[in-house]
Amino acid sequence: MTTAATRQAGTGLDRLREQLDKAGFAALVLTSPGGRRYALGRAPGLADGTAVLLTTEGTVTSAAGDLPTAIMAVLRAGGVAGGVAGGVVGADADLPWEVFGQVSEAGVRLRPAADLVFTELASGEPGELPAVAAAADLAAVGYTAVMDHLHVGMDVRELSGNVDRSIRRAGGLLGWYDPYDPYDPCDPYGTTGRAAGSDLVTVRGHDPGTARLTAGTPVRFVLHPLLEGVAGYAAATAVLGEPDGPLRAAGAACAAATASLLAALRPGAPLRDGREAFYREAFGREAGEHAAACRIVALRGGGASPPLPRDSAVTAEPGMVLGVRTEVTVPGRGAIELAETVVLTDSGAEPQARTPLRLVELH
Amino acid sequence: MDTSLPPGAGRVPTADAGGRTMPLLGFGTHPMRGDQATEAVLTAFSVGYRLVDTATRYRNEAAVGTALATTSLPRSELFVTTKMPPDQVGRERLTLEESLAALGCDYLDLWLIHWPPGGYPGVTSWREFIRARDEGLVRAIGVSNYSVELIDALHESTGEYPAVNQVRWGPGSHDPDFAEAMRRRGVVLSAHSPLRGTDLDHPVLAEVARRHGRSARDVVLAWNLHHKVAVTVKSAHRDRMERNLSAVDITLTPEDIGAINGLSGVAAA
Repeated sequence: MTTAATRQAGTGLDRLREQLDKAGFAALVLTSPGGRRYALGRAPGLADGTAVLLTTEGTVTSAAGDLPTAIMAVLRAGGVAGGVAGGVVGADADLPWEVFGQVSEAGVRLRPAADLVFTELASGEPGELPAVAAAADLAAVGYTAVMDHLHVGMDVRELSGNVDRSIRRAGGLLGWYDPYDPYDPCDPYGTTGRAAGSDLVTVRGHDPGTARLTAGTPVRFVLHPLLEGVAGYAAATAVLGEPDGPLRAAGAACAAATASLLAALRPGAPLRDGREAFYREAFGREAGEHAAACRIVALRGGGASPPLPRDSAVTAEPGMVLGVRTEVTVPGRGAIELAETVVLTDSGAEPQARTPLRLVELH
Repeated sequence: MDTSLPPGAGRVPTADAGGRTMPLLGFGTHPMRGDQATEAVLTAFSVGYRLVDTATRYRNEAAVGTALATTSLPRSELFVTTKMPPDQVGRERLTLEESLAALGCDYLDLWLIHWPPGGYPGVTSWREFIRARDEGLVRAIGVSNYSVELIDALHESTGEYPAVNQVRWGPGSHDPDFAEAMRRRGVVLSAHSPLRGTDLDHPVLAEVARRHGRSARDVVLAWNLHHKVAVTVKSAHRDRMERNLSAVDITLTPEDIGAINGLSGVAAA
């Protein structure tokens, strides 16, 4: 038996509720980790379940269990099922067809609301921006803790410990896990399964048999600290020793494509222009055989939102707080991965962590 | 001007860093930024410090540059140190130009490689450092956090030793063999974080401090200066800046030095 817990929505959700109302939704069902975290005001635990419902009337309901059951539970508990409140419910993520079948029978019409949720999770208030800068700065502290000490033979646990010490010393206590890696389409070679690290840093590119760093293999690391509930986000890649031709070309391709992405994030332009600019640049170069991918996420609410959908119509607005993450993979050699926190201003994307958006060579 | 300076000012011992006279007691700026860094550097100058230590990594070079532009002290009386982070291999000249621009300087007195890049000696960067020095953009070049082996590797590749090696150094990490290896190579040993990692409540330090009527912090600074180890100290507070500077007036006895040397975990091992 799935039980749902309901409470009053906090004032932090007022703006989202207004947007829901304006868009004609009676409620919003959130199933993505980022969406649920935002609605709950904290990272969802096991008891918080797989579905959260926010109603325009101001209630937040969560339920555990398998996805269809949890969704039906929150819809009933929220008074939406049966068409009581109009029956039009937005969804922040793609849902299985069986969910649609069940909710339709209950008199509820599910409609995509990914853009609405993305906009909410990206649009920072002016008062939030100093905290965003401080959290990104904390990610930069973690970057330094890694980059200054990298050496061949280093154990990734030592690396993780360095990050932990440095970030704690700088005032950070906790981190967040990026929940979207397992679905990362830019990892066709299965390297995501070899990640190591902690809630503050995720490392890839080490020897999975020894947990140690090797010469010539790119080491990539993502920093994801939290500072008073605000997510910091940055990623960098370094190679120990001089990279060979293919790696250097991939590094140049990733750097150029990332620069194109950032340049395309202009107020008034669709955010998807950034994605398109990235792919144009990444695949328009003579960089040898490589796979490339990028994603743009919103960073409000203590973590990453679901990635911007490919067909999103969300436009860039000043004040948006975004995470951009890019990757170019060299078959059999590893990958170059970069990420940055950016705040959109009238003049474009302003990097916050300011870690190098290129392949760093250490020799 | 000197008449208004506190104890210690004007009597800071110096070392020869690659032909450039380097004060052995300097003002470190990490982790201050912005106005706080500018104000602190100006206060440090007014107290009597002449060496200011920054780094690309600290993200405060522009703030330090504001202080350099504001002070009435001539540039020639000041000693400006900054450091290139290890992730700038292949971009050395660009990094130097950015540092000079941020600091508003035509030259640096000392430019250091902040960490060995990837644990390697960093020969590529070292060649660029030598070139920058030979072109007059920097007066002296050095390294930070380098082992003897890495320093020798730079020398083997280029025939040039660093003028300075800035490492974490204090009574707890005192290594006479390392210090002697630096001295034999003509490398000035410089201590960053001289108080971190030192148990300032240790009975030996407490006793020496009591005998001299000073604090354990002062004693640790004086101990470094006795060994001709350069120290950078940091504080945003004027009174603490003055107190640190006054450590130059402490003369430790051979017994004091021996006792403090004995605190070293390295020597014990």
